Amino acid sequence: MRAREPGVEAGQRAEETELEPAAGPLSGFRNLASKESREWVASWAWLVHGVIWLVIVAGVPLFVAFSRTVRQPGASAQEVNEVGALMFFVMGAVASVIAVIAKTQGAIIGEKQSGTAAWVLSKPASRKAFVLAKLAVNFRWLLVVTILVPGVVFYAAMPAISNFPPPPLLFAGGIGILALGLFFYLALSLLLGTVFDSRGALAAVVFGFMVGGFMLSNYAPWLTAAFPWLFFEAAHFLFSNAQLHSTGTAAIFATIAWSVLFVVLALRNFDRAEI
Amino acid sequence: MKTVREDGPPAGADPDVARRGEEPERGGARTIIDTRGLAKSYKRVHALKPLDLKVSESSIFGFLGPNGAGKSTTIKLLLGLVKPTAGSGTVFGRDITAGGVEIRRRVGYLAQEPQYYGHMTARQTLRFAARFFYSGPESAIERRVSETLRLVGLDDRADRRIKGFSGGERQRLGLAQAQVNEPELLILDEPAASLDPMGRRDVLAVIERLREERGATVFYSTHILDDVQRVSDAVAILKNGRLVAQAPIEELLTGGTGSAAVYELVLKEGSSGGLNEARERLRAAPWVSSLEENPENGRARWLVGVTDEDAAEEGILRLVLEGRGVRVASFGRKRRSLEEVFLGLVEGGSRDAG
Repeated sequence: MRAREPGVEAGQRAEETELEPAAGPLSGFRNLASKESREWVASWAWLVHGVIWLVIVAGVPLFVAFSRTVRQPGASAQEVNEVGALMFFVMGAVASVIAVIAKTQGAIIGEKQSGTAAWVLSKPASRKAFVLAKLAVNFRWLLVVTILVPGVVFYAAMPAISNFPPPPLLFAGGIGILALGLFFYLALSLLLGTVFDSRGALAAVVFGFMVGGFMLSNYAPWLTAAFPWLFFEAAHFLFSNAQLHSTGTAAIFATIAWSVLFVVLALRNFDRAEI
Repeated sequence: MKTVREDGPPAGADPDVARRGEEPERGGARTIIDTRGLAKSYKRVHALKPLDLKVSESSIFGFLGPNGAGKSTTIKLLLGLVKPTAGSGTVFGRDITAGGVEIRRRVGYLAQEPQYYGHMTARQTLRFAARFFYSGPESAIERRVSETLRLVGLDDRADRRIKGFSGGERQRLGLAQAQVNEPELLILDEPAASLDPMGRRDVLAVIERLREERGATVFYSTHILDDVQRVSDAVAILKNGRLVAQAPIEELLTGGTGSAAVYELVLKEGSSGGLNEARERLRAAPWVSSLEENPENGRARWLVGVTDEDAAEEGILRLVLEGRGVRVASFGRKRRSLEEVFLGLVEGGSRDAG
């Protein structure tokens, strides 16, 4: 290691007058958010997830819509659009949950186990900022790669199949519902990350919650008003009928409430966690 | 040496001081770290028993103890990474459970096994660390990062991903990130554990430079007792989660004040019976607590334990030379090595010395 040189010391003094101490209520949030974003880019996760979900969420519905025009040449543009949209909303709802699990099962647990969380939190970074940065950045990227980009591609390609563009606002409304579902599962995953020390347990609970919900919806339909299990159906209903049914409306408000609760609990748990 | 309590009562930090965010003054030097009955348990395991620790400003404080003694737990408590189950503590006068972020703005920390994000380069890692402390401008942050990389000798590997770094390179990066904010308090947990002798020397150089240039306080845990003896002003020794000694290093090595100072004499016998007479005179002195003899190349090596240093320094030579049958080859206060002190305390149990 080397000693400081006189010129360097002078430079350092000048530098000290320039450097501004970081401040703010969520200390370290911007820095942490930037790190989370860099992780998406550096690991090529954006490309891997982007390609996979583009094929599945946009490609499969487009193929189904095209098949419909082949099998039923007389089908109206609206019918073809609705068939394609239903498949898009189903695929988008499932894909967003799987993507949440794949990308965030280790987001908190991994950092706790590897020791990077301890390193980061030995700096003037607030624990709330640590969790919220993961929430904000992962939501943004997951939304883009699992719903928005496939949604744009699907919307742009559908007129070529059905000869008529789907209603844009209703389609955007459906996407908004899927985005809320994505946020719900992301908040749940991060909350479980503050509780569990096992990625497997986290993945099992999140995936089990989605699959179990689909199953339960057959036996206890009233439960679907409290959770986002049938958001694909609500989105499709909105797209097809320009309105929400009462169960879908209730599920949206309940999901917002659950999501807020999950975030609050995640922040509280992580604040008390032993790192 | 500081008296070590067996079960120190937890006492709250001075709430006024903690509220004001000021460091309490004690005997001229400010106390930077102050714990009172600080304790941590995990279910039935007492990782740290009530700990009273005081670290003065601008000191280099060695924190010693065998594996599992509670050193890392103490450090994590000071940084607010874990919460105490009893007692309290302040760093810079701020309560460690409430003032975490403000404390950490002034602290640099190197973990025992530092972990960083593998996808980052060394430069990106330091930039990331620096941005927790500084909001800009970017050019000034980049200058600070480059300067810090140069100081630890990583400037030629600055843009390599740290995934491929060796243990020594990671440790250098650890030292760099710990000082990127020019901390007032540097906390190092086993900083030289995985380093070769040159790496160890570099760690000590960083420690000393930070104190000399910035007046920083350094609190570090280590197993390398030679290093502690070389650079530390004060040490504390933990054993099984309990503090067994805390003292300035000189006091520890020379046996402390008042109770256990030891003087070493190397004597030659001038006439028959001279040594016996000198021995009797010394043993009769009320301030002599022990006298141990070892033959050494035809000479006699005496270790004289005393209870009163002033009386001893004034009287030992006088008593020995009184009979004229003895010649003194050397005389001085016995300095034990830190290793001797450490092993004595850790293997021999706790002791009061105050």
